Amino acid sequence: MAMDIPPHVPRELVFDFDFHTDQRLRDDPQRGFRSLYELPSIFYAPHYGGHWVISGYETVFDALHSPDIFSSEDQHIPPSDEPQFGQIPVMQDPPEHTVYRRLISPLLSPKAVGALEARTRVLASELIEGFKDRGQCDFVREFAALVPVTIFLRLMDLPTDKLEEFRKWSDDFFSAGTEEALRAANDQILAYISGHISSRRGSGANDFISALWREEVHGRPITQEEMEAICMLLFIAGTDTVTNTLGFSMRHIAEHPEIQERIASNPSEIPEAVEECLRLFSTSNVQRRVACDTTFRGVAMKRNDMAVVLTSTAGADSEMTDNAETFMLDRGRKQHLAFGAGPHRCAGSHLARIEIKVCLQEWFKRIARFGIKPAAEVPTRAGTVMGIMSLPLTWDL
Amino acid sequence: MKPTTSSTTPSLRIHVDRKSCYGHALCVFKGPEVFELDDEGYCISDGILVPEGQEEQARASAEACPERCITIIEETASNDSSED
Repeated sequence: MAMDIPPHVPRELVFDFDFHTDQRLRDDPQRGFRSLYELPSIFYAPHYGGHWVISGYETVFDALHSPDIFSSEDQHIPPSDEPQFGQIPVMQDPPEHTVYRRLISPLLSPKAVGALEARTRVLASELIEGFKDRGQCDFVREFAALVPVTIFLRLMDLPTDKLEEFRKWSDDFFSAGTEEALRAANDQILAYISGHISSRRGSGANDFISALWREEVHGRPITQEEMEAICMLLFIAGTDTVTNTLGFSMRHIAEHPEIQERIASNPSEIPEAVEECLRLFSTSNVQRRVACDTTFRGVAMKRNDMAVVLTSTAGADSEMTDNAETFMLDRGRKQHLAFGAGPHRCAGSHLARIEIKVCLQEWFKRIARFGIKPAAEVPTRAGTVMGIMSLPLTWDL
Repeated sequence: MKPTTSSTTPSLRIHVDRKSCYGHALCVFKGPEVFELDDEGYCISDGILVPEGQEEQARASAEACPERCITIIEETASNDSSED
């Protein structure tokens, strides 16, 4: 990891931390990221070209509300001179961001996605009924990976025969440690969606793709390129994230019979349990590029410095809540930034909450006590967006 | 439209800084009887009076708002004659 530290970075703020492969992130990446609370809330990691790591509820909140300092445009870790293949609007800043965000917000509003709750419930219950009598399943592969992707494919009106590939493509995308790997993963997904996008042009149907084609930006029709950038984001953000949050949450619940008992006997508390899951087991952090020479909360930063902003651990800040690392349904205020805050607040948060809630409800209706299969491997992935690839569970019949 | 509170119990009015609302919708999650969203999911409850009996919901919603854009203002019957 030998690299030159830029002169504006004070040596006492440099800590060896590789956000893909650090030992602390093995097996339990959320716990690993939480362990960074021992370090300053702003430190510099000399990997992937060097970048800031920002943690702590208030510091993260502040960064997310400072798009003039922390830009979403041209953020690459490692840095790259290649033109950025975009995802709209997550890689834009206001005011341009606002123009595009306005297109997707209504499609994913609480009202719009509320209608999907019943559909999600049917899907979740069918999947569980399919393996319930076996006394075991792979919670991630047979359940958590299927629900959000299936709902996503229905929203986009895409065929469901590529479910397996979708999961692999997301994983390739988020585990990419180099520019080439990221580009290859991006191209895989794009190759699949671009044909579907172009064939919907002029369609009067109500799926997302057809509906977006009818939108205008800056007084002109939306373009194929913009459509691809929006659909890339919906794909990347809308599938893998819910799967992994469910997977990591369920691993914790499987290891804690007392939580299972509490939820099984008080199913009306599941919406609160969802917030506690989001507080501790959210999987997404965000990246930003410093837009100008500046001092942020006492730390000098230079234009084009990169930053990883740890939204995933903001909810576990001991300054904000007691016993921050403990899963506690009775915690009054389950504050977290799992969906971010400010202009880039996750547009899919309402759908994500419904999916997680319904999956837990349908599960606990049928399987109240369960555990992790003895000696099972539970492979995980760190990085900006974390993943859990498999979670074998067993229960008594 | 003013409440006709007969006693000196203060009424609670909700103030939402709408330009700081980014549509988390946690106000409705915590206070379904108090808060309302528009079609895009942004809070439209600025200026309303908290219905009697829903004070706890209103306070929980204000506390839950990740953008900290909800405040609850106590109004006593005497200074409740301001124009709308």
